[in-house]
Amino acid sequence: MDVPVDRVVAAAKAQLAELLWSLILRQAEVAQLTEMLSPKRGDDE
Amino acid sequence: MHDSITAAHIPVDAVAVAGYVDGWYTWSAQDWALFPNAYKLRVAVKASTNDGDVLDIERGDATPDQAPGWVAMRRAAGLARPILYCSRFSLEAVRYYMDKAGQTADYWVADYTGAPHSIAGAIAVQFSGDSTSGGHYDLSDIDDTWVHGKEPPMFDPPIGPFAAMRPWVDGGYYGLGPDGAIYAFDAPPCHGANGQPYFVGRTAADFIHGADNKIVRNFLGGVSILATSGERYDLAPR
Repeated sequence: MDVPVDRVVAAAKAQLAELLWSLILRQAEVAQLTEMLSPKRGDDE
Repeated sequence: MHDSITAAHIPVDAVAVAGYVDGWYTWSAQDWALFPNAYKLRVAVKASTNDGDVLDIERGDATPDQAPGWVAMRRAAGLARPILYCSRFSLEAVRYYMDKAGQTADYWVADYTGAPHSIAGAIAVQFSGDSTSGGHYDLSDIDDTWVHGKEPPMFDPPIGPFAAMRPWVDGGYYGLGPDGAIYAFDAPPCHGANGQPYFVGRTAADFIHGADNKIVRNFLGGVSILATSGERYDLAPR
């Protein structure tokens, strides 16, 4: 079965864009969690 | 409120419309002129664009971390209420970066439930995409308070819907209002001194237009609209 190359490339690009976007959102989550979990100045004083 | 990448897909009697000021789908002046009665929300898709009321934060457009910079830039340019558009799933990330930067903004949130609803902290909710809105446009429910302070529609009370909108040969449009009057929109010579549409004349006549469906000049160089009453005037500048 022949699959048009341009369709394969377009689908791959869409998947990559989706992955990148989800990484961007995860990055914000990780930054937020890191801030919440990191000891703040004065916590152990 | 209706929004679309293609202005012509939105009904001309929409109460409020949103369109793009940059990117692939930038609306032209003629696109905006299709909605003389609508409140207009101008959307930027790039965080580097110092224009628009809204920053579009979604895949392929601006990212959440770019929101504070754009908001600060637009405030510095005089925009009182910058708006951030994002999906319900991205809202927390956008708010995180905004809080971290000590910035505030209004939020327009996409949440396609198919029915109008509210989301805490959002002034508008996009509840329907083109698969459920009934056309090639999205639908949003807007908080009424948002329109306060916005540029009002060009005509108040609203005119329309227009029975016909015809492009003029040199640009701009003429619209036949439901009252039988003709109004001119957009692009010289079809606008008044302040760029707003003007009343041309009260007539029940049809437009005369050429084979290409554009209004034609007559031999005197004027526009071939029948029986204008001489009531033409420009709207006073606001």
